[in-house]
Amino acid sequence: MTAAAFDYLKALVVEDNGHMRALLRSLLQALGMKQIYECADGAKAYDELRERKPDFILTDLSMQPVDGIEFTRRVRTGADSPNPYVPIIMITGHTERPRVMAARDAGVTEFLAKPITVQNLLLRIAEIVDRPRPFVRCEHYFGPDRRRRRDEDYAGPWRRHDDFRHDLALDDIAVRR
Amino acid sequence: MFPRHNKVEFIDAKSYPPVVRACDAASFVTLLKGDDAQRRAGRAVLARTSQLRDAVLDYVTGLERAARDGDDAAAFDRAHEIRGLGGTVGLVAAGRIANGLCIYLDVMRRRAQRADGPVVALHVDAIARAAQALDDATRLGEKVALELASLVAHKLGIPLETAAE
Repeated sequence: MTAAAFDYLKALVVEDNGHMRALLRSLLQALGMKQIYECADGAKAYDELRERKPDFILTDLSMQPVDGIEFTRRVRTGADSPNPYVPIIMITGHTERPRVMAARDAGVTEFLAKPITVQNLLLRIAEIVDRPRPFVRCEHYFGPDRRRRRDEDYAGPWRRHDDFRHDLALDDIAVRR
Repeated sequence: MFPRHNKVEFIDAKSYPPVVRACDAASFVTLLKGDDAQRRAGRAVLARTSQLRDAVLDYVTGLERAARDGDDAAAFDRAHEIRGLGGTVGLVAAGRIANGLCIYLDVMRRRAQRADGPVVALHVDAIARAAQALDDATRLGEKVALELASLVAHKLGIPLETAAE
C-alpha cells in the first residue's frame, strides 16, 4: 500500500484512555502513517497543535482538565489557534444527545461512535479528504457547516450566502410541480 | 419568507488548506476505502485484542468495586470505558449493557438523584458475565442487554430506543 500522503500526513490523537490511544496509534501506523502525536487531554493537545501543526485530529470527548469540546472550541476560535480549519474527528462513547450536540456546536467535523470499527474510522478519514466541509462564521459559531442535508420543507429563516440559490432551486421545484 | 440576515459568512472548502495535497487526494482516498487498508487495520486491532480484553476485565473489577461502594460517579467512569472498548474487541454485549448503565447513571445524575442499587447491581453482574462469555453466552448477553434496557426505560420513563441506543 503506497500513497505519498501517508508519508507526510501528521495526525494528533487526543485520548485519556491509554489503551484506546495505543489502539488508534496502531491503526494509523497500519495504514502507513508515520507522524502520529499523542496527548491525554485537551490542554496538552492545544500546545501540541501549535508545535506540530497536524493535518487532522482524532479526539475523545471526556477528558480532564480540558475535554474534547473545550479543546475543539479553542482550536476553532482561539486567538492563537494555528489552524482553525483543521478537521477534528471526535471519537466518543457518549451517546447522550446533549453532549453530542455540544460537541457539534463547538465545531467538530466528524463523529465516530465507540465502539470504533476499522471500517468507520477509515471512512471518516476518507471523508475529511474527499468531501471537506464548508465553514460558517456567525455571531455565536465558527466551524464546519452543521447542515448536512437540504430540507426542502424547511420553513425557517434563510441566513446563508448560498440561500439565494436555494430559493431559486425551490422556485424551480415549484414550477416543475 | 423570513428576512435574510447578513451576519453569516459562508467559507467554501476551497478557500482553506486541504488535508492532503490535491495531487495525492484521489489515491489516498482510494487506498483508505480499499480492502488492503481494511485488512491492515483489522490486523492491528487483532494484535491488541487480548491486551484490550484484559483491560476491559480490569474495568469490570473497578466497576464492581464502585457499585459495592455506592459510588455512582466512579461506576459511570468504569462503565464508560467498558462501552468504549468492549465492542471494538468483540465484547459486544458487555459494551451494550455498559452503555445502558451509562445512560441510566447519566440521567440520574442530571436529575440529582442517587441510582437505584439493584438496577446498578443487575447491570454490573450482567456486564461481568458478558465480558467473560464465549460466543453462545454472548448471544444470550444481547438478550440480557435488551431486557436491561427495558428496565432502564421503565425506571427513567424514557423510550426504549433511548435506553438501548
